[in-house]
Amino acid sequence: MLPRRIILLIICTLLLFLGIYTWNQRTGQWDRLCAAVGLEFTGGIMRGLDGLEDSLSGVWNSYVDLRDVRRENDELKERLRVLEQRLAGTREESAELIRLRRLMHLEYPASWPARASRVLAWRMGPNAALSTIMLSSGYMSGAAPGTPVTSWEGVVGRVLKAGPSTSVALLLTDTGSRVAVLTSEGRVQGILSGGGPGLPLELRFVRQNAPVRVGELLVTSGLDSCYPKGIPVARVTAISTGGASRSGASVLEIQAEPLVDFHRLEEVFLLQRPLDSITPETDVVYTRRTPVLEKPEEPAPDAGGSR
Amino acid sequence: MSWASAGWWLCYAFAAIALQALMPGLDFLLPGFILALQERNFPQLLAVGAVFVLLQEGMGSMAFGGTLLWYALAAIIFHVGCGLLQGTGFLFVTLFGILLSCVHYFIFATLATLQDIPWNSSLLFDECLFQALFTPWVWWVASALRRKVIHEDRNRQR
Repeated sequence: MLPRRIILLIICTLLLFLGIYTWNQRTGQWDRLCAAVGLEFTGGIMRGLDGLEDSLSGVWNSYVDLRDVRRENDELKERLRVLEQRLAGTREESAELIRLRRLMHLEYPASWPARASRVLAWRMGPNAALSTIMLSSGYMSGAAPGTPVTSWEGVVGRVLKAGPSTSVALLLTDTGSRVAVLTSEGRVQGILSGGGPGLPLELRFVRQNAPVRVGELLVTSGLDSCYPKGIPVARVTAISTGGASRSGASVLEIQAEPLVDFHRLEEVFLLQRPLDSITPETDVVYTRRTPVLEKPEEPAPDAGGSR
Repeated sequence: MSWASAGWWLCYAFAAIALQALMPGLDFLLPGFILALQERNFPQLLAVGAVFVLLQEGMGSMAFGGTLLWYALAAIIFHVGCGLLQGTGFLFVTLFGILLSCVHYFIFATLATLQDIPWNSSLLFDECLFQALFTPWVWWVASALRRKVIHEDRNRQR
């Protein structure tokens, strides 16, 4: 009698789970609830721990670790002088660039205001299947799902899910990450996809005779409507021939390394989409079933060619 | 549930989340759930289970469901295990932890495959191994602290 009851209980549990799981896959209600409650609570705790760590290190830096301050001050002053000289030179170059752009009738990319956010934690818990970071900004402070995340070094990733004041961002290195890029010198377009933690990124869909060289910088092309154009993403580390795309066309196999050192990431920028820019697909953030960047949907013949 | 008990659970959740931030992939709320199962206080078990599931699903990056199924199966396995062994001993919790780690491996692998997320089997194996190693010790510390808090609270009430 007892085993039969237990088997029945297990079957009922599995059926109930399948029901909840399927309903959530269709509506996303449970995911939203968990982001609003669970993620928010975790974010609050991590913020508290972060504050505690900051105050402890502040005490250390303010009262204990003052030995090298004078030397460091002199070094910084010297560095500031050098940077000011460089800035003066750059100002001239920038002015020249503006003049040249005007001459060529090029449009400026719309400005994407940046909001700073702190990294609270890395992947946490038993359900952390993706390479993610937890940020101290939520949808109330500009971290809606799909928001580009960058650092001063380059692209970090994009926001995957968000609570009111805490969010989780998918890193560039995750296997589900896709960024439309172009090479800085040859202006060759491709899709940069993550290879997994500790593995190189992969630049896809680059034709065999494309002018790409090792060491070249990859920057966002802006064609995916997710990132503004021109943000550095990665550097090419290896190129080999002999690859083939799904359609059978010959392509280069290109590996790249991210410019951002993810292990030392403390603060990031959340780039706010300008109001007049094109809004990406709603499921562009993370989806494997319908990878928007790899397979753009063909417009229906009767749709008149516009959405 | 008394205020002391509720405060204890809150502190436990704080500590477990801090530990989870240090050791990615591990569930430090699970030993607390085992503790709630052992106390056989149904409203408390429901509240603690629901909060822990919400927390784990909130901080995770998979679609909702994995922790819910894992904790539900943990409750069933605990119910079955209590018919075979004394459900409060260290040996029981050690065996229970090993079994739950195996269950977690299969749930994670199934859900990751369902959601088309590539998963690293050796990394998952290592995480499950560490989960099995840590669960009884975390439970042991937590149960000792809880006994102390509840005992002091009862003495104060008298």
